[in-house]
Amino acid sequence: MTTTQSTDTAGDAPLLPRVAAGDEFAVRDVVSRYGPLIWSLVRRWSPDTSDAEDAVQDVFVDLWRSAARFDSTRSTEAGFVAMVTRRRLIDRLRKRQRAIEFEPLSENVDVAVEQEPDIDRGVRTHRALEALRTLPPAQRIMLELSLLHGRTHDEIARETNTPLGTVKSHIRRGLQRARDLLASNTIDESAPDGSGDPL
Amino acid sequence: MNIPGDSMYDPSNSPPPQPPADETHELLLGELTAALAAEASSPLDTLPASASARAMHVGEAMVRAQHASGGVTPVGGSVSATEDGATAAQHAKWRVRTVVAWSGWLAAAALLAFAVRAPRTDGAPLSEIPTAAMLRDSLVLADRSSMRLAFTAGDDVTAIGAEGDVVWSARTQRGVMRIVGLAPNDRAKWQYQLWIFDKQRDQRFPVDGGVFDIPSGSREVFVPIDARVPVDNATLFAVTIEPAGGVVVSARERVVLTAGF
Repeated sequence: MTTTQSTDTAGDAPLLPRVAAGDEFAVRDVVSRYGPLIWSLVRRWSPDTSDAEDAVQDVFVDLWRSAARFDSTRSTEAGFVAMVTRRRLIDRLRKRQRAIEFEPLSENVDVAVEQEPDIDRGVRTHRALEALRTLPPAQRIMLELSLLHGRTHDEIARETNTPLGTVKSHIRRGLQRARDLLASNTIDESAPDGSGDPL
Repeated sequence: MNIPGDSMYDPSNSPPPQPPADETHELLLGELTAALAAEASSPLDTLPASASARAMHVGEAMVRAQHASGGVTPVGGSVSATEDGATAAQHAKWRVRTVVAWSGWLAAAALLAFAVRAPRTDGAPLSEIPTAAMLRDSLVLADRSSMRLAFTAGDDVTAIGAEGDVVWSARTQRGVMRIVGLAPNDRAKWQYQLWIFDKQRDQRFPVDGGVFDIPSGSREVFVPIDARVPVDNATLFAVTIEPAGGVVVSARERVVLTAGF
């Protein structure tokens, strides 16, 4: 498994503030650094190459326009880029009139937890990875299908032969647990790598 | 899965999804998504070169449009070489003659080759006179009659390593020079001056394209062309060094850049 995509290592200075400040030379750096991340999501979420090529341009346009909203105290730059990408992809999906249900926790999860301002971005990304690794397989797989592959809950239910309610439950629990782990300062490295919650 | 007409989707008419009041939840999803994508990375995730080039081109145009003051050198003798474009924008001398309703957003949208239905309203105001960089984009993108010629540096010491190009539209009589690496001038003593050779005119008397300055510390400078008289058939663009304020007829002693057929 290769890990060539940017995850905001400590040596990577944020680029979006430069874009927001009018440094057009930063544009190339952003495309180089986050192009693979954006394309990895776009190509997975898009029905075909033509749609993906349109979508990736839409995402970049959104990114240039929202660069000033990136706040390094709240997220990694890669996380922000992924958020902008998801928004646009979801918007495009909605335009295709697909029934989607991507954000089941908006009313149930305490979202008031903020990252500490001085946390190292690389550490934060590492914690995100670690949080995902500690999830039970079913939760992680369904989160991956939803977040990475853009599958709707209905699609996940069909593809995994799992009742829709169970899919929602897995995703809800997975996100809740990931959020809790990210909000805490330590990842429980000994946490069981998923003992229950079979698909 | 394609929707008819979806490939004609125009971002200039479609604002991005509005951010919720509290983005924390979405940022969490973004963080997890980025982590998952990093783990699942494969060679297939390399952004296609054409998409990458397009994204860069559009992005640079948009950044320039959002920061319209950047990198523009005024033409004319009344503007300080050190003042920034925002101040310079208030000076009429270098303003483009025609107030064109081009915004950077529109140029960016045109770059994407999407159908342009209406310019954005949340970008640069349409009434704003475009910067030279924006004007250049609009000429390149939207004026099929425009031509782009690469500059060749002369032997003058000020032009060592200099490069750039000139975009000129005979139809609209507008143009922009893009210059990189030309030495900054001391505008109290000397200035650069553009000359446009018109096939229909006596070659001894090229059209005065205006004087301009290269500010110190500038990397890339865009200079709008201010032809004093109509140019019917431009064949050569030449930049010379002249006394401050320019001259009516150049002795052509120091030719620093040329671009022609």
